[in-house]
Amino acid sequence: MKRIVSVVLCLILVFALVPSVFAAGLNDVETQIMTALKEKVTVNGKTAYIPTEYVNQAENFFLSYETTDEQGQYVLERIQEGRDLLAAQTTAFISADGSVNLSALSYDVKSQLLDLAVDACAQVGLKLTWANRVITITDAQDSSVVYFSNSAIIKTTGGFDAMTILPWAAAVVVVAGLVAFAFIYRRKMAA
Amino acid sequence: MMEYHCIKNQKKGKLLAYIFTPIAFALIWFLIIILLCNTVFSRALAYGSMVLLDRPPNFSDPVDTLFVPATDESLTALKLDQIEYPQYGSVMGQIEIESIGVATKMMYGDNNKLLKKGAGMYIGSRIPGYGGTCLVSGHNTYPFKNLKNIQIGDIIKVTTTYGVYQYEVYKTDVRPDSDKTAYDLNTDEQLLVLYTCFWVNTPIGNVKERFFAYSRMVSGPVLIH
Repeated sequence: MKRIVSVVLCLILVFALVPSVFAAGLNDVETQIMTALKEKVTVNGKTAYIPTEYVNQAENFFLSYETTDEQGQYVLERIQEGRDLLAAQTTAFISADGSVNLSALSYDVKSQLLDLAVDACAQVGLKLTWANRVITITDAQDSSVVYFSNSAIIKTTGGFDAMTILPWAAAVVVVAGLVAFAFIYRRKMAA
Repeated sequence: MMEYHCIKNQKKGKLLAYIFTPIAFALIWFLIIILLCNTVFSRALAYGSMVLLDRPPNFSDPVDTLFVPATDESLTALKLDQIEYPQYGSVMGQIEIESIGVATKMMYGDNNKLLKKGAGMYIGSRIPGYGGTCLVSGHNTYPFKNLKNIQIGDIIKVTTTYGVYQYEVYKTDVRPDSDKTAYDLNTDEQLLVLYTCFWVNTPIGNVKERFFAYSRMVSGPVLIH
């Protein structure tokens, strides 16, 4: 949630599109959008930026879909709206590392940004959902197709191998058996 | 009074010894058998459900496993509009590391479901050849069980739908999963970073450390706009 502003800004900018033609490569308006996304925002002497992993996800999206000039201009206008909204804030919401401290923004500002993002996504056939501080944008028809997520970059990659746990399971069985035996034996002796 | 307490304790002891303890022990056994024989049970259930089917089976797999590998290893450059950009959930490539016996599908995306199918590329990183880091994860049981044995100088071959790439390992490291300096998503250098949970071959899947293998591209088509 701490980075939700930059996430939402990125979402508004990037996903106010209609996925139309499947084509790799960036056209002119997409290149302009990527340039705008990579620009830093300075507010009250502090500089904020959209994290690289979010920008990359946006670029990967653009590389797979063709954006019309009209759509691209809409996105660029939303970029400016987002910048203006942040620039108008008087509270210090930018951390030392350039990330946005969401808790420093008012509920009203956060709501505005989120509403914009949800609306933009809905208009272009995308669905924005959030749960447990994770924002996900998927295809509205197929939620298994993910275009964006702010979940952890490094995933849990530990597997469960039955053969590997065999010695451990055997040890548990032995210990459980010994404990049960000791308990019953002790009771019998006490009686 | 003493006799009464003695009898009461004896009854309690008998209840514990002959009822609760055996039940607890039986439950432990049951859980262990389930864990160990899960693969056998699931197969038996699958066969059983096939026999008892009352409607046509649905063999469609939501994960796109159709993969047509590129074969031309002599390409040095490709225009982006000549390639089919991978779609989330699809098989985008094949990873082979001959030196440690790794051969696995590479999925575009790295959610839990996709990581069960093979290695998964993080969609906030770059596809091979585009420039930048391609960050790929895999489970430490399959497919990256032997990743910890990779050596500097080993070659990683990545065959995508658009090109065949070779990367040479230049570094390995073990870092916490929260360490953001373990990878660089800002670089323009053509890098491939594979990682998996460390300790490998442990019954505990959710560990904090990751084993990283860093490699640089040595051959393959550069993707140009």
